[in-house]
Amino acid sequence: MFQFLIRRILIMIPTFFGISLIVFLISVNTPGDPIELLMDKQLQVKGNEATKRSVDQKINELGRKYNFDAPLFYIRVTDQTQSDTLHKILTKSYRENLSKLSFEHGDWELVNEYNRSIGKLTELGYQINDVATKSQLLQFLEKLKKTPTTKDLIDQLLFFKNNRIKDFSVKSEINHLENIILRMASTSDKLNRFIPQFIWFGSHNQYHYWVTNLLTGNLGDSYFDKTPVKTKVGNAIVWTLLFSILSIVVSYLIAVPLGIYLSQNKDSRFAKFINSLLFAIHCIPSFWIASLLIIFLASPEYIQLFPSYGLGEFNQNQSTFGKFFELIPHIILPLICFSYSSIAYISEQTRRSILQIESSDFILTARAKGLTKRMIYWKHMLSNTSFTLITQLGNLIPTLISGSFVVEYIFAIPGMGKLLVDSIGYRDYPTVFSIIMISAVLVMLGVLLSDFLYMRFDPRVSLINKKEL
Amino acid sequence: MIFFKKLFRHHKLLIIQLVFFMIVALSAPFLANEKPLIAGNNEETTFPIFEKGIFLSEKEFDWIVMPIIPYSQNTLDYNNTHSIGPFSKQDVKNLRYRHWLGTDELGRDILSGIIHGARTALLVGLGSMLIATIIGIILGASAGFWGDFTIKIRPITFVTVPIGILIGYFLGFHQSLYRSEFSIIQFLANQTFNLLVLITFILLSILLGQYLSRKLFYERKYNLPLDAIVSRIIELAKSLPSLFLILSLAAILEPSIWNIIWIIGVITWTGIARYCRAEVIKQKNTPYTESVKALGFNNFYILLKHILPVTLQASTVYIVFGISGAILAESTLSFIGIGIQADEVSWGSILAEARKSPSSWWLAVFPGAAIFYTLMLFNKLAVAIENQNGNNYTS
Repeated sequence: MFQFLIRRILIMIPTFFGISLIVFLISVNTPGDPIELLMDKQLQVKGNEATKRSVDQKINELGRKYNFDAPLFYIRVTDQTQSDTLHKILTKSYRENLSKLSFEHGDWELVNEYNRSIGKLTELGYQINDVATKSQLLQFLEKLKKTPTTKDLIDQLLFFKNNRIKDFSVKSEINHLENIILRMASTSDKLNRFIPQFIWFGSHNQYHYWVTNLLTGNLGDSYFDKTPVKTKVGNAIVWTLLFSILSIVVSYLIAVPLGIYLSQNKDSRFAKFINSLLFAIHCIPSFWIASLLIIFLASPEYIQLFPSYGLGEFNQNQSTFGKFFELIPHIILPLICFSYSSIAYISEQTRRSILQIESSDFILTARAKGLTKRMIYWKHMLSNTSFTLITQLGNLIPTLISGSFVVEYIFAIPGMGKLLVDSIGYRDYPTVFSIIMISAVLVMLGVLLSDFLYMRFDPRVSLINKKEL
Repeated sequence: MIFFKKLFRHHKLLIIQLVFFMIVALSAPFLANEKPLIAGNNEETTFPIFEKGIFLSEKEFDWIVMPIIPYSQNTLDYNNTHSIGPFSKQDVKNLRYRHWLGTDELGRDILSGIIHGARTALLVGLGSMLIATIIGIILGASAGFWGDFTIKIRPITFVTVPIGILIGYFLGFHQSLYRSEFSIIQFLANQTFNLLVLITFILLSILLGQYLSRKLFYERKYNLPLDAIVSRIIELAKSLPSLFLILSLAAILEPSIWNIIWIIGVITWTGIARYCRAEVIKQKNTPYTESVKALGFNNFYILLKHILPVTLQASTVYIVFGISGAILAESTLSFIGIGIQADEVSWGSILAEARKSPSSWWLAVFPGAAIFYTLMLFNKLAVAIENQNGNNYTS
């Protein structure tokens, strides 16, 4: 059994890395520039040339701090037109436009020269004393950075040259830039697009840093309020786990006796009615029942039995016991929404498995042997049913963890689901992807736990699993 | 065909309800629309429902035939704003223009919204399950049928196939990487072409590998562990918190119903694949398959002609359960306000209005009942098919 567990855990490792790759792939393709999202909102005010330099410095600082200046992955497969140092450009849109330019032109060296010229012009622009010229030049450069084709670049340049610029160094640099752009537009090496290029970056890459940080428990900083994601998720996970465990306990306590009752009276009309009722209950969408409960039981218009939102406010000097009693009325409605579906599901499974076992051969043998009814029932049937119940635990954990978000959202419970919905609203992607990774790990651990319990209680299973592995 | 006949004979009421739901969903624009179906005067007869733009020229016609519900899902009835209930007094022309299920905060008709929402639900349910079924059956059936030890590969193919993939990628997908398409049709045409290029080069590289190894007299073969690979992929996809992933993907991508469909399809195929794999393995070891094999038919023929039909019929249980799951997922997303566009309507988005005005119970009760009823229909259908197949697969 120990061997089986070790094997099971070893299989989890590639699964974890696979999931991390998928999540990383999605996180890279999110809209928006991560550095821009991380920056203070005051620094981003547009049209203020005096602060542009400090914005640039801030971008560099943030890029270094969060490893945005590193390449994305260990390896990059691209064509010969692309530069291997492109990742050092920190602004996302500018980086993409440079990439498009070099694909169009066919040689990255000239594009590199173009980039250098723009950098030089920006430096010169900061030193100009005349405010009007300065803002003209810097705005022109901003526009150039947003232009992906040489044709549009030439248009921009011709438009800008209408302004008379007195500064000699700027003038000569502009001429140099024009020269580069014209050269880019006139020549095009199309063959380079079809020749592949493999670039190996080693462990200095964003994915590597992200995964190692994840494994050491550093989840990065939130874009929204710049606090560590770890504390945010840590506060939220307590509530989600509390509700999941409570709901599992409640639903097993109600569903198992119900299932046994239904199986024992399978021919009675009442049991049949309950059966179809359970089927209907299983189909009810949780957000509907939650909305109805809030409208009819927790709003002043109808009956106000329960508080509608949140988890109440605690007094500092209250005892733990007092806090718990404070919590109970807040917990009841969400708990109903968390557990009604699993009650229906588990009782149906219990009923089914008891009926199945009842008709199996070993029960017949036990009967023929002359065992009492009670003995057969407790010793043979229920112990066999418990295996099914344990497997259901493995099915329940993922649905409880990831299916709970809408209930948390409606009742304003500060759990993981609520945090996820909120963070999506704020475009706070580090929090979003941390939550997805953590809940993936929780799901894997839950499945592992149920496998372990299953094997612990059912001696037959280890053989079957060895064959499957 | 016998399958459906039998199903209809035993569950007439259920099938009639399902057909009713589909008819409502498909003919939603004709059932609830602000434009008349037919309008005419002495000179001409027109069909304004097919015309674009807003129908304003009511006065010009002598007679008009309105749909049963004379409101579209987006029609704002300015006389009945601030959520008027179904039983309260409504400011309408006559009984035909009454809002039978009330209105929402902006004065939109709830019944019309529910009818149009049925279309969204059906589209999402069937569309996403179509995608999930295609992926699930291809992967699951091939893994189950060929297993770990059937497909033999010559070692040279291990070299030629990656090269083929690389060339196919570079000639196809890579060339349109830096291009920006404006229309979706252009984009789809381009990507289809790229996919064809890729597949052609993969096939060519396989042939090249076969040819080379024959030329070089290097006939040693290795097994391709297809089953192990697919099982690992399924396990990986099973460990993903699917609802969280659907939620965040739908939030990142542009809000559109097509995005929702493919996201749900791509994330929920594992159930079908797992089931299909088990079913194919079961069918493979039956005596009739062995007799077909003994008759000398080739593997591919057996899979397509004898095993897949049985598997498909058995996996309809899973597919129908999946349809109700997809409808539930979509309505949950639109309840939270993620996924569909502002001018589209879904049962979830109507229900979300109830959060803003808790006193208007009709905003919560009716769309929720529509979701519940639809889920119930599809789940009942799944159970009915399950019972007819004579097995208890759901566990």
